Amino acid sequence: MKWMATEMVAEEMHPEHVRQLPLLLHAARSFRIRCLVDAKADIEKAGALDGNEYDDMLGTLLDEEVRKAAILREIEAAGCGVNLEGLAQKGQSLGIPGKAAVAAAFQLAFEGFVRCDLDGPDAVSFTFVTEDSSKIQPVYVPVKVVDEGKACSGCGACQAVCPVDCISVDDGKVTIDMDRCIRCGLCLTACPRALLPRKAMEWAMMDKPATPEDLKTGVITEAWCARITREDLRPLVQDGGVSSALLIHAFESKAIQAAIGAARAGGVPWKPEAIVMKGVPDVVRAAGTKYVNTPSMRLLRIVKRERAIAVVGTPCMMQALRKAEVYPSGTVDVGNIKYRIGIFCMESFTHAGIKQLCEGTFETPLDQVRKMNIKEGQFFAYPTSGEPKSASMKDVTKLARLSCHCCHDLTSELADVSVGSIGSPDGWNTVIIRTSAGKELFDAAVQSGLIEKRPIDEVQPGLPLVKKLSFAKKRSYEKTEAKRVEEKGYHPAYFLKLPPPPPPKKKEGAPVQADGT
Amino acid sequence: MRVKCTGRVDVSDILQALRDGADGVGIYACHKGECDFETGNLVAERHVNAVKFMLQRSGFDPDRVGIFFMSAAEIDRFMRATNEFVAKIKALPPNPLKMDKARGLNVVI
Repeated sequence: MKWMATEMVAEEMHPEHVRQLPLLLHAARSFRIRCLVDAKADIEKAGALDGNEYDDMLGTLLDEEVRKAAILREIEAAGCGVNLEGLAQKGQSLGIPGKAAVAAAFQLAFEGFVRCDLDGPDAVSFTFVTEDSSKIQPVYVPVKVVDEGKACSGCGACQAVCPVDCISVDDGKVTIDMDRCIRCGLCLTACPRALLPRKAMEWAMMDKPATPEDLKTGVITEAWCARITREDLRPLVQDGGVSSALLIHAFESKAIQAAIGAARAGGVPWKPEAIVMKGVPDVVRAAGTKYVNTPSMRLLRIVKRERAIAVVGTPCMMQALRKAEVYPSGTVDVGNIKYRIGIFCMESFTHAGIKQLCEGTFETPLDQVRKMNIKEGQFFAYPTSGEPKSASMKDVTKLARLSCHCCHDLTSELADVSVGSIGSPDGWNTVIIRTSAGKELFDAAVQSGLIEKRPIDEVQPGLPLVKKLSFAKKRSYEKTEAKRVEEKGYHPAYFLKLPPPPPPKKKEGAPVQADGT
Repeated sequence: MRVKCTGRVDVSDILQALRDGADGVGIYACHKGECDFETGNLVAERHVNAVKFMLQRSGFDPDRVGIFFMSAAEIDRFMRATNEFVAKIKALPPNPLKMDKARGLNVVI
């Protein structure tokens, strides 16, 4: 009997397990886990998740909380500020991938367990504050705060993750049924406009730290000027039709089973609908830019069971996808997303805004507009008959959605491959390849003859214009950010009251070193 | 710790007991449908199930935690349930965290 006990002890006495229980206790005290345990009946009643999916969700979030607790211990053990590289190293020694460790630290800072100090324009360090969950302010408020702060991008990610299906996003407006809401805060976890640490995102994308250069323009591994070679599709697509061509190639080569995008469908003219594309005919139907915001990310849950999918979307949607990679919500799994095709986006409109523009400024009813485009600072609308109408972008920007002013991303910096018209001649696209997945897809499409390409350096105005406009958007974002912080004490991308400035450093202590030594 | 109802026993309370070295945690609740506060025992059951789920996921034996439904008058039921539970726990190895403490070693983390 005794030897048997020893054997079993050895099994459960594994150092991993001994370490696990205190971490598990910390995880169980987390606001999220407690909420989801207590709301099990509500979640089952809502019918959004079945029993297995509930277990998956709780398990995923529990693992995440345990990881966070482990990182918190590491930060506490370090004693002084830990920088990102040090954090990734510590994470790896615990078996946590570097990007997850970095992301966890940012979330701990968001919750108030650690303090995040800016040591310089590009350096961040984390210092331990408390491990007592009762001393922090629970930040898991519904995503409504983002909407009320006029920052909602209308991507629809919150609708996809909600375990009780109480959120609906339509035309850039979030509606939450507060009677059904269980206040788990998963929507805020998924929201690209609340806690989106760019450093952690770049890390998630490249699996290595971002350089200051990457943070300015996003990662550019290659840039090309390209267009679709199929003549029959050219009238349907926006400029060069590269995003449609990439999807067509992916479907034809059976690399993906489904794709998420937006198509002009339904009864209301120019009100796009989020669709799941299942083949080439759907891609053709979805071709062309829509300019009206569409909550396509709400389809993420529907495609959960597909093996490989592609997503076409605006920068905010790419941010939501990258965020979901490092901050799992349990209800949506982005592991099956093979390609993220980002499009350039300066701003988008509400349906009401675009209606006002066409019917007011252009005096053309929406159902008679065939195509819209933005070129050289002018907004063009092409009616089914007659001359194209145009207006200066300065006037049009006033009709854009307010929330687009707190976005810093023009070129879909977090996508695998970004496609846009800026920088290329008429009928061509600028294509920025950012990751190996993006390169693989683009190269294969070029090889199959569906896309023709030429070096971006050969065309005017080329990449410099893209960079210039990208900087301009970042500068305007910084201005908005500074204004909002000044007015409300809120950080537009964080939606939390900023912590009071840290107390002055004690004189006898040596200055805190950022490298965690 | 005195509680008015088993519904007060939280997930973290049970895990705290295990973390402090308990080999097992048993919770005796009123019969289902006989709770003075209507759903207290059901809440407790949900918490226990959640703890079992968490333990299983982290490689511990979920049988270390149990919940039993009975009224204060059913002494035989109480004895039977307790004996069975204790026997089950005794068959398991001692809680590793307790062993570490008994040896005077610092518990890792």
